[in-house]
Amino acid sequence: MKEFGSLLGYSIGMEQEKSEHFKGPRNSAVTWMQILPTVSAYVRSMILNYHDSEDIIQNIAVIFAEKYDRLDPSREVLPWILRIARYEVVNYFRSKGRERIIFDEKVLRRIERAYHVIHGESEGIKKALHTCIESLNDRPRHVLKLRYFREMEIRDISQRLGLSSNAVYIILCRVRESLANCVQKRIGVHWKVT
Amino acid sequence: MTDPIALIHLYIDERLTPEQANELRSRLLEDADFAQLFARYGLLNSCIRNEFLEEDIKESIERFIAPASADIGPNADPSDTAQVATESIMKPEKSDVDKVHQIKAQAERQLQAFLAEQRASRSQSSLPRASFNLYEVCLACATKLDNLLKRFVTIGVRAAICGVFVLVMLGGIHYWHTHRVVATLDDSSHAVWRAPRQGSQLRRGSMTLEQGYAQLTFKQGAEVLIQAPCTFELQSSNRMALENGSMTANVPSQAVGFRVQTPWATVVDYGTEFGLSTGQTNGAEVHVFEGSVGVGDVTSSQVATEGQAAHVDQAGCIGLKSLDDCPNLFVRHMPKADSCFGIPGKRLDLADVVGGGNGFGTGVQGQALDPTKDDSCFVSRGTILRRPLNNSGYRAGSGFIGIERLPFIDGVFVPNGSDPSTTITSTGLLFQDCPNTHGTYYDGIVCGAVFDDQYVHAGHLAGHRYETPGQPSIGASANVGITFDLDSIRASMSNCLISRFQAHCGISETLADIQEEEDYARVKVTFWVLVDGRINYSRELGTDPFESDQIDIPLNPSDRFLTLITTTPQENLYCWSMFAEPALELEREHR
Repeated sequence: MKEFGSLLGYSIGMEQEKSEHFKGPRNSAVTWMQILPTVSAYVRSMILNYHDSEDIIQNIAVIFAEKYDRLDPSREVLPWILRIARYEVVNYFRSKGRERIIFDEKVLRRIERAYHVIHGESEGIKKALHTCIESLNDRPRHVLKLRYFREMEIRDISQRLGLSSNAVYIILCRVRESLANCVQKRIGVHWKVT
Repeated sequence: MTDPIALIHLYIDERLTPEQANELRSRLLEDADFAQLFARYGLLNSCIRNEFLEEDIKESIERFIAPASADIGPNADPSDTAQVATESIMKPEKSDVDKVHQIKAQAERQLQAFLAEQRASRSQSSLPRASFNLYEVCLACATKLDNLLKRFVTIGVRAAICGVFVLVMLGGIHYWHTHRVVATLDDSSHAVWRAPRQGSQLRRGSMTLEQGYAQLTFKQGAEVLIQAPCTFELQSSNRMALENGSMTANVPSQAVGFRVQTPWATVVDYGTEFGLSTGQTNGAEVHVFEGSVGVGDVTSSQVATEGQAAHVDQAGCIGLKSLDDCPNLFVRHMPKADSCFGIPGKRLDLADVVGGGNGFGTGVQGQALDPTKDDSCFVSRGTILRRPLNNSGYRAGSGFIGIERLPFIDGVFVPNGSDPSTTITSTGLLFQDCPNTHGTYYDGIVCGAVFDDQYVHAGHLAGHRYETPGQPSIGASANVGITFDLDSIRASMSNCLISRFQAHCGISETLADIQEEEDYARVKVTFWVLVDGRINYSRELGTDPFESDQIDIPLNPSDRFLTLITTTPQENLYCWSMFAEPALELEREHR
């Protein structure tokens, strides 16, 4: 379901700035678009399987669409939807019978809070990243695309490119790191490392 | 302590050790700055994925719009359509309002067609639906969109944006509908696919497994074991079509309603395990191991319950019978590597067929065919040994016995040239050059050659011991004959050719362990292989020294009966003759 969910966000995103001038009730689609990057990132942080995470984002979108009109207008939307996302993630772990070594409910709450704090940076990161990715050379871009779009395991990428798994992992780390540096430079925010 | 950024990279690429996982957890709990760093990298990671998705979506929209360009309108230049859409995406403020209306009209037509298709699909299904209902979501989106359009259609620029929104949404639906992942490939054994496969995520579409086995799990939970040769189509997270081939399905409660469409009938699982086989010419066969399934089409249907088999013939008639009256056609669990000699699409094990199996490991070792008992021919070897002997300590033959229960076997017999009608097939073919024998046998034709004198043991040929399904054999102590029905075997494997028969034959060398040389040195057995009554191989093999031979006979598509015979002129209890690794070699039929 990934394409449909992302697409909805993408298409509304094009008119996001203009739509703020629209009259009428608070536009749920525009709100969804504003919180979607943070919600997606939150879910994808915990659920690394691409398709499972997209299914969960889609579920959250449906819940959002169903319940948004009944939400108290004075309430902030992001904490509410992140809490829903947390329930969905917990249910997912439960349905999989997976031992939650890292992400028990306490850790999920911490991460939820962190996403709430950095939410304001999401639009800037998105825009900066667009430019940063364009500046990548073909080879790292290709590796990135195999991993993030073709959803290939590192092992499969290594076989395809005739490299060791470790070499592919190092390429991915370096590309992500260079993108992180590029983004920080463009948005003028230094990500604090403790 | 691991570097914090390295720790995050290791996590993203699923390379954390358990210790590092604990470290990550502690840091997330104890260090708010680290949690924010984790979130920022999570956001970056998510945005990278979106970047590539959006890039693909743009291409997808262009592909989606282009073929429909002729429908845009009588005055529109079809070649402009994709360009108009692209321009609209990139520069909506410069788009022409008329063109936007044309795009909108086209988009609405596409949406209506899509929704009509969804409605039709819904009306055919009386089953519970998956948790996410695309139809409802589309309908809701369409309604909201319509309201939006009513409000903005008078404003050219915004109408352009809305028109593009429709197209983008439809492009997404189209893309999602055709590219979504519906199942995963969990395991495979000796698998050869017609088209090379990448990764374990399986999207909608047709697949052909030419050799071996593949284990799939549908998104809704149904586990399916595919046996080659098999052409099938993944249709949704709980639905597939089996064009030809065999499969077994294990359906947990959350996937009840799992549906398999065949050329002859649709099978709906009501839980929990069934086998299904179908082809282009021979109808469909369903065996229910647990729970129940519905079999049929819109005109008629039947429910087959646990322990029943349903056969749907070419006319669509459905017949039910007990599984006890059927051969074991279905492999229910992924075989362990090298545990089976028969490999679907490559090699069919005839010893397994003698054991009541499908040639790929479903037969039972020790099962045997008694060539004189019409009504209870297919029994264990022990049962045959308990049956009465004649005065000289043997069992006398009684003519050709047809075996209806095992479709791959035409029949069994005791060869004897002094009998003027040694019939070897159900169609009345004779073994014209059959030598004179005493017309007697001892323990029939056995899946897994075992012999007993002082102790029961597996047969040996040329120093090899044949006792496991991975090293199968047929025990055929002279005088016995068995005829396999090659047409029936071919019918069970669509698009597959039987190219050769191969086996290793001889007298078990274990004879030397239990008899004095002067006794066993006299034992001689002639091994025969006939194809449609014609002798293709015959050789007398003895025990002084122990001889064995490799049989290799090419087979044509028109050959119907393959007959294996052992004869001996002596009446000797120790004619421990056997066919080791008896195989039909298979090839893909190229049309």
